[in-house]
Amino acid sequence: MAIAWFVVQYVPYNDRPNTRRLAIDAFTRQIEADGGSWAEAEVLGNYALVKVSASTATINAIKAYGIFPATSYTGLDTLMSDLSNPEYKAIQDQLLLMGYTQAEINASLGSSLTLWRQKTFRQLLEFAATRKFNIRWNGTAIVFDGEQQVCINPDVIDKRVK
Amino acid sequence: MSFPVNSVLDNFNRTGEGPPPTGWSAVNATWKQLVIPDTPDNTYSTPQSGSDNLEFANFWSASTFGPDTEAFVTLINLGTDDWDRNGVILRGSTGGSGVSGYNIIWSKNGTSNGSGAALTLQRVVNDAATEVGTEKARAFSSGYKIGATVTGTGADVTIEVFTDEGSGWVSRGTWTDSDASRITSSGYIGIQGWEHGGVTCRADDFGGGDLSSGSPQTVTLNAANLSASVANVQSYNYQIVRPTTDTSLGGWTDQADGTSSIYTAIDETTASDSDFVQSPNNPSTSIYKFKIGTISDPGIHANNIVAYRYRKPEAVGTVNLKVRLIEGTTTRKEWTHSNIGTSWTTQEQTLTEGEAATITDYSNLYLELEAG
Repeated sequence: MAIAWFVVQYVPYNDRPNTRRLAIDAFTRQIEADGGSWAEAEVLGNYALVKVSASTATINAIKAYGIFPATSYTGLDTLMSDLSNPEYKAIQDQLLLMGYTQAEINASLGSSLTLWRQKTFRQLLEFAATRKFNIRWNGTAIVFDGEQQVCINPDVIDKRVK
Repeated sequence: MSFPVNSVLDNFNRTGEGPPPTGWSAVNATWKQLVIPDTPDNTYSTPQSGSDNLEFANFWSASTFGPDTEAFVTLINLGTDDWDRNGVILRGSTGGSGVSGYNIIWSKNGTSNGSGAALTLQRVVNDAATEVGTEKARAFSSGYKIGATVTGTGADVTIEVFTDEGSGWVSRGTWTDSDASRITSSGYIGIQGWEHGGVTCRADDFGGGDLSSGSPQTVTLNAANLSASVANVQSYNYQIVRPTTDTSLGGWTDQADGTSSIYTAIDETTASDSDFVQSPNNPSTSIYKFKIGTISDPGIHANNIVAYRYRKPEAVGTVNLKVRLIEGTTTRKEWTHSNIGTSWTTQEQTLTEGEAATITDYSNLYLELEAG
């Protein structure tokens, strides 16, 4: 069984805009057919960190789907010492897209690829799970202007998916 | 754990009420409500046949329940659109920011169009719903029942979904909600769903209430031909798990000598001795291993209970039974019953806190029955 972590966006149900689901649910049947599973931790910006256990073919299919940014790391305590520059840039772009500031990113993970390579995958995930905001339906869309909330620690998700 | 432990609250055996019918209340000013049709058919229905994009919900208004509660309903149909769905509400509430609660629903086509019917959990907060975890594929037919329990008020809230598809209630899995928006308060139980495309959703016999109001919870796991047992694990916050998968049979069969998914003979929510698993005749170290469902780590080590029942069917020979609680491949506890008798004997084994503390992964627990 292969493991992968993805950043997955919540999407509205078809013509039910007050209800959202994780887009990776399109692969749930395939993952479960493999004997695998997935679990999520909602994070900032209508995204979730999702750990998936599935066959290599399914993991590759999810990656090939192209809409869920993935990392090459799976073990939380793995040092990101071989992080490539393109992946470093892509992860930073994703964190900015989620709503974190460059200053926050630099303060927690460092301001250069060299500094990031001294961090573990756990430190990256925990930063991505720094905060989120409670949601509400405003009559037109789901908005994220509620109280700031803590996210589920990625370690919890890591243990739920083997 | 038996499911349900409460009775039907509304059988809808009346005509021409609503919206809402007597005993029910609106959840907000926007969502549609239930009616009991003018034409007697002893069901509730959603009121606007032909409307698209119709979300409907009502709370059973007599009382709030909980926080640990259950609800169930019989479904006549789910509608016609891929997104149509119907089910129950637990821990429902209304407030200044909108409706909150858990929706446990049977959707016509899951969350992916064309993927087939599925059981789904939604957490509703401030009128906005979020699907939690993975949907559970489950085919639907008219007359099937859906029900659910919600337990826990701490870091984890556990929602277990059940269906009765004509052969009694069976657990179809659990979700654990650990998000900061998880709902931990007492609330209303109710009915919720969507309909679309002109076919009125219909359902019948709604019930539920406090889990603590029910009778003591046991699940029977029989092992005739020599032994019978009950297997469930109860944790301090009353999470209950039952057999979910055969791991290795070791010559054991079900009561009909079947060898396919024999755990289904011992996973009933209401204890029954009419089906069971049994060892081979004259067993010698015959071991049946099966997986039990996943519970969230209770965080404390008290009141972890393994319960089971056993007997041998005839007063012939000597039969010994060992029952083991296993995490992965490591035995966490073993109980030995020598020269078991022919009368049903129920055992409720409470792990010591030291024994419970050795469990590190509550999603990886098994039970073994060894006959010899």
